[in-house]
Amino acid sequence: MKIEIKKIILAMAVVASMIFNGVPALAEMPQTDVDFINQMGGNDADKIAALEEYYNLHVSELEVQLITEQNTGALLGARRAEREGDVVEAKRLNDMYESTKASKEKMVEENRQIRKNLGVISKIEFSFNLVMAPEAPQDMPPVPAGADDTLKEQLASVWQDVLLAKKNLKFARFDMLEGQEKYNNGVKNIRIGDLMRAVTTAEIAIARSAGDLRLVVARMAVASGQPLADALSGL
Amino acid sequence: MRKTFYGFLVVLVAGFVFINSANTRAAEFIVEPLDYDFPGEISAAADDGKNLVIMFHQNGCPYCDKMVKRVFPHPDVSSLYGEKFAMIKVNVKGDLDVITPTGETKAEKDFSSESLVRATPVFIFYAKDGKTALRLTGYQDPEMFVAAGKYISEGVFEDGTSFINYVRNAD
Repeated sequence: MKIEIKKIILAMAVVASMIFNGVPALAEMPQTDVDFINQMGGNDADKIAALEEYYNLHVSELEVQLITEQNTGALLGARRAEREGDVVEAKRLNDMYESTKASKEKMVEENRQIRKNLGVISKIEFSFNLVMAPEAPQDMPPVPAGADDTLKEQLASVWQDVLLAKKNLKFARFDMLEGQEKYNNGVKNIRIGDLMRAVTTAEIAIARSAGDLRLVVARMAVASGQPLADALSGL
Repeated sequence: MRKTFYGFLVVLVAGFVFINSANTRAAEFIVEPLDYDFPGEISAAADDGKNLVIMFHQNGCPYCDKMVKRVFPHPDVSSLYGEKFAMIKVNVKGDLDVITPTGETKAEKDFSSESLVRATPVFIFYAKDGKTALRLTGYQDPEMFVAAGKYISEGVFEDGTSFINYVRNAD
C-alpha cells in the first residue's frame, strides 16, 4: 500500500514537472530554419513545402502580437478618453477595440491552422510559439551555378524587399528612441504605443522578406544539388 | 518490476530537470529576490561585476510579454545580460513592499509612480554606485536592448554621452 502511495506521489511529481516546465522546452524547439530542416525527415520537396509554412508561421506569430498590441492600445485609449470626458474619441476607440478583437480571433485561428498544416507537412508538433524570426543576411546571397532565370529574378526582387524592410525597421527604431527620450523628459502627447506598434509592423516586414529570401535560397540550393541546411546556415 | 518503474521515473525526472535548466537559461539574468532591497541588490550585483536593471511591468502588457518571450531568450541578449546584468521585475500595480534604490520602503505601485512610470515596460539601469545610468521606456528589440547593455557595461554613460547619440554614432 505504501509503495502504491509512493508511486502515485512520484507520478504526480512527474506530471507537475511536465506542466510547469512546458513540453517541449525552448532549447528543443526548432527556432531557426536550419534546426528545423535538421530535425525534419523527408525529401527536398517536402522540406521546401515545410519551410514555406515555417516562415509563414514566424510572420503569423508577429501578426498576432501586433493585433494584440492594437487591441490593448484601443482599450487603454478608450478608458483614457472616457476619464477625460472625450465621448467621440472614446467611441472611436471602443469601436476599434471591438474590431481588433474580432480580427485577433481570426488571426489566432489562422495561426492555429498554419501550425496544424506545418505539423502535418513536417511531422514535428508545433505546440509552441516561434520567437526568433528569420534574420536577413547583410549582403545579397550569391547565385549558385545552375540557378535558373526565374529564381535569379525572384532573388533580386526579394532582396529589394529585404533592403526596404531593413530601412523601415531602422527608421522605426530611431523614431522609438527619439520618442522615448522625449517621453522620459516629460514631453506630453508622445504616442509611445504607436511607436512600439510601428516597430512591430517593421519587424513583420523583416520577417516576411527574410523568409521569402531564405525560401528562394533554399529552392536554388535544391536546384543546384546543394544541401539545404548548408545553404541556409550560410546566410 | 519495481526497480524498472523507479528507474524509469528517475530518467524521466532527470530529463525534465535538464529541459527546465535549458528552458530557464535564456533568462537567467532575471533575479527573484527575497526582500526587494534594491540598494542591497545593486551592491550584490556590483560585487559580481554586474549592473542592476529594474523592469517595470504589468499584467496584460503585450510589450512586456514580447520582451520576455522574444527578446530575453535571444542568444545575443541572454549572453550579454547573463554575464553583465541582474534584472528584477517590479509590478507597477503591485502592493509588495520594496526598499527603493534611495533607501525608502514603499509599495511597488508607489515606487513605480514616484519613478514616473506611465507606460510599460520601463527599464532603469543602475550604475554600480547606485545612480541611475539609463532609462528606457517601451519595447526594445534585441539589437536595441543589446546596444543598451553595451552602453552600460562598457561604461559609455560615464562620460555623459547620451544613449541616443551612442546609438547614432554606432550606426
